[in-house]
Amino acid sequence: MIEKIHNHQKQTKNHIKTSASDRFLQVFFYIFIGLFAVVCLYPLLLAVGTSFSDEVSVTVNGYRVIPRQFSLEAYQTILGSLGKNILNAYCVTIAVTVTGTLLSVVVSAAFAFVLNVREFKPRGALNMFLYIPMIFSAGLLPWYIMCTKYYHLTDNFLALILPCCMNAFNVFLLRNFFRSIPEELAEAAKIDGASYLRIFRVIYFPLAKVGLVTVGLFYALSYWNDYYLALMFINKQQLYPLQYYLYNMLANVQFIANQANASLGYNINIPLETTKMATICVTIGPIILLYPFAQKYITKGVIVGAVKG
Amino acid sequence: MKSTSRQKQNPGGSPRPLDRIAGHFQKYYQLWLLALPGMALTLMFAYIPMSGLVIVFKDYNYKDGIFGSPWVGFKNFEFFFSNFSKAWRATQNTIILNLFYTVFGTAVAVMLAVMFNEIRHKKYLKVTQSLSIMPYFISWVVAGGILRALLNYDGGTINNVLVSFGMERVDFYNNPKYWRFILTLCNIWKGAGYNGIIYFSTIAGFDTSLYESAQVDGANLWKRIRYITIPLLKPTIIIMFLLSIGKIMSGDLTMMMSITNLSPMLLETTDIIDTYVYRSVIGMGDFVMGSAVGIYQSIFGFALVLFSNWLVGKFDKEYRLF
Repeated sequence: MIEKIHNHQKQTKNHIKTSASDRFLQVFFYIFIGLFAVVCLYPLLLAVGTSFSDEVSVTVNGYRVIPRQFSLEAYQTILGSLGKNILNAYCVTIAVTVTGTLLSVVVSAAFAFVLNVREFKPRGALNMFLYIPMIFSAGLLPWYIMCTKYYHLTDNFLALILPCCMNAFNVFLLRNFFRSIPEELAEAAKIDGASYLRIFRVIYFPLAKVGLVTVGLFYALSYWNDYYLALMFINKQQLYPLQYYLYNMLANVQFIANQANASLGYNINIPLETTKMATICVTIGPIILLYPFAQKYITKGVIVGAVKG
Repeated sequence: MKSTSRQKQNPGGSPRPLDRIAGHFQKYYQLWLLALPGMALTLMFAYIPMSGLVIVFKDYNYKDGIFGSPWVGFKNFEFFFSNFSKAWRATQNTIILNLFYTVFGTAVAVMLAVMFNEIRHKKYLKVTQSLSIMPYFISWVVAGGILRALLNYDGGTINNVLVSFGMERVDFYNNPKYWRFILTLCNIWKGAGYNGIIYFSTIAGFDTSLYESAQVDGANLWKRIRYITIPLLKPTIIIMFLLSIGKIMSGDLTMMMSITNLSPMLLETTDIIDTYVYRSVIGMGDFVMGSAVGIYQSIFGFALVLFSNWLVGKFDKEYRLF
């Protein structure tokens, strides 16, 4: 009898103990995840905060999320003495992103559609054709020489688009989206005498809207963020995209001063640190603004892509 | 015997291969048309450069190009091996950094995934998830710029914190010894959230009845993670790990350039093969060394891909790359 009560006590005690430890663990998870999210966000907030600070207060007090001395000087510099160059870089980036994304989505969707036509025998070979470069690559040097010497991409607008126009990962992602469209639709259209081109245009293209938007976002982000291609091929400043302009600004203190002085014709003092941060904010601004809209598609893309990478 | 019977079955159809090809194109020319732009781009920027690998046997000059330059046999390799120390440093750095990225990156990603899975509050989950993958979509240039604000000698956030605790300032940008650690943290910041979601979607696909029955049997949360989630996740982790062996010789030039600006002070720990090739070829115009190192990277990379694929095959044939 005593033993039984004792046992019972032990059990209840045990029960409370485990649920308490579960709760503890769960709270820990909530906190850890929250902290990680803050760590992800904090650097961006730091850039925003600094960009709205007074330069002197940054040099004295350091970088801050909440500016100690509010100032719009950095943005005035960006719009003023650096205005023309930054606007130019912005236009290049927008032009590259828009043309590049449209071209990439169409080219990739067409290819992905072909990979998805079951009766088309060579599709296995095409699959391999696309897949092999994902694993093996020639490396930087032969690629660089080919592009500059044989394709003449130096200082060419197309140099910022063509080399990353076709991304195998995105094509496979699209193929996975296409796969989820019922084949009967295409079959029925075929019986009605529709050509492949028409089936692609009328059935697959409109029905895979979510997939196209997802892949389009991935492409757009990669074009927006790219500075590698500019680094390799662009010397003329009229063709600098925003990221490459920012890269030069961050890497070379003289660059920013030269820029401002050249446009004004006389020497001025530029609030260096805050201007850099303001340029960063201008660069990531569109991504952050579009993010709430885009993140639904992006999360989906990440998951669909993971199913069969 | 077989072919005669086939001919009998369709006496009108011609078995000649040329006609068959013509028939194929007549039926499928539109599909080939659709695939053409993608094929052309892949050919131009992936396959044709591979042929440029012959550069390693050439005395390259810009005027004659890759194919017109005179052959020199193995002379470039002799030069390469006599100047091997710098290339060896770059190789070591590449491998060490990639190992760090993979080990610590995977550890954090799996931890995040397991924790995401236990968050019951839908809105909290959504917000933290979208914040965690945000850095993935921020360029390395921007990340490098902000990192400078964190690590600067005077005014940098970390140094300010150190000073406020009465400690000495650390001159990060002149001290190569910190950079393996810093680069790994940057990599985790940028990619762990993204990879965490991938692992999380894997966990979400696990059989929930396992968890329910474990809970009925009195297994607490920690035990459920330890004895169900982690073991079920293990194959995925191992495969990702093995696949990353194939990429251990390749580095991210853009990341390194934006974060360290190829500062000569930091090259000791941050000079990877890609930056080495970039510096020697595009910086100094030294095609001999650059091409030799580049080729050595490609060949070893190729061998490692085959090796990791073989290992994956040993582990689970399903997940082989080819």
